[in-house]
Amino acid sequence: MLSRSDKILIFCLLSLACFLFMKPFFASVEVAQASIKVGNGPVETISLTMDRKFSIEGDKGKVVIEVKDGRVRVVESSCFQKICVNTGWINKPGQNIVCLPNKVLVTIEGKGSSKIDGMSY
Amino acid sequence: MNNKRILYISVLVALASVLQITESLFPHPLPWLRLGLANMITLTSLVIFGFGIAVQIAVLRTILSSFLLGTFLSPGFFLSFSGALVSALVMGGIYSLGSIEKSNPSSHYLFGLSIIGVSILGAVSHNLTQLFVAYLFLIRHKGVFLTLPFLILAGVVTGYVVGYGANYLSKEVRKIVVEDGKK
Repeated sequence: MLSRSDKILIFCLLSLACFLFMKPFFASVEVAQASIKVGNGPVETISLTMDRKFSIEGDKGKVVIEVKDGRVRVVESSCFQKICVNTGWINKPGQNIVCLPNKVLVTIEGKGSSKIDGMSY
Repeated sequence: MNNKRILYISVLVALASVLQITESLFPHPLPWLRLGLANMITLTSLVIFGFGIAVQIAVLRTILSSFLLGTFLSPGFFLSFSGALVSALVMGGIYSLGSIEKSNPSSHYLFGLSIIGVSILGAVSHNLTQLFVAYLFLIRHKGVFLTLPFLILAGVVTGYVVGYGANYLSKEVRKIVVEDGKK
């Protein structure tokens, strides 16, 4: 019942699916940079290869960010609940640290495998 | 448009809605993974009544079944609506382009695809549209595209099953329509 073109179509789609499935395994997991955004301001990209500590000016005051061994964390923040500080180190693409009072968002950039951690409808 | 046509459309829309609602009662291990039985009706109407009416039926059945399920204007409705619309357009496009090749009546469709091939393309385009809409409006995270291979795979399997069914259904419905036309 399947015509020849049907079989070709099925074969093409299946090989496309296989290719897309395999792709993340071959992708190089190079985590090189993180982006920092304050409020509606421009996104600043920082490299994670160089260890350093610096502070930025958030909405409520100072936020100290530390970069070490390809990871990044918020050391000190002028906010109330310290959720950003308690988030700790992040190093995987897609992970982020958020400080809502200061409107600071730190995200790891990269094309490595980023996992979905939850979905709900 | 004569009354008989309207009658056929409404019966087909009702059938498609019933199929979609019945299907939603089955447990889905993954929220977006469904068989898409209602697509069988879209395919059948495409074969018998053509492009325009198939698209109308696809749009009407998503709206009607969402009213009955109580999901009208919910995120799920927009996913289902956009998916059904795009897959009907894709299948209709292939069908109308294919019917230019009238020289070979055994293969109606473009590139010699049978109804199963058209159904698979429809199912895959349905899944891809849903993924894209979900990315645009629900989860703005590139991670959702990791589900692409699974969606394509699911589209091929469900498209095959639905196309297989539509093949028989369209033959039966055509008999009824032809007999009815003689009266």
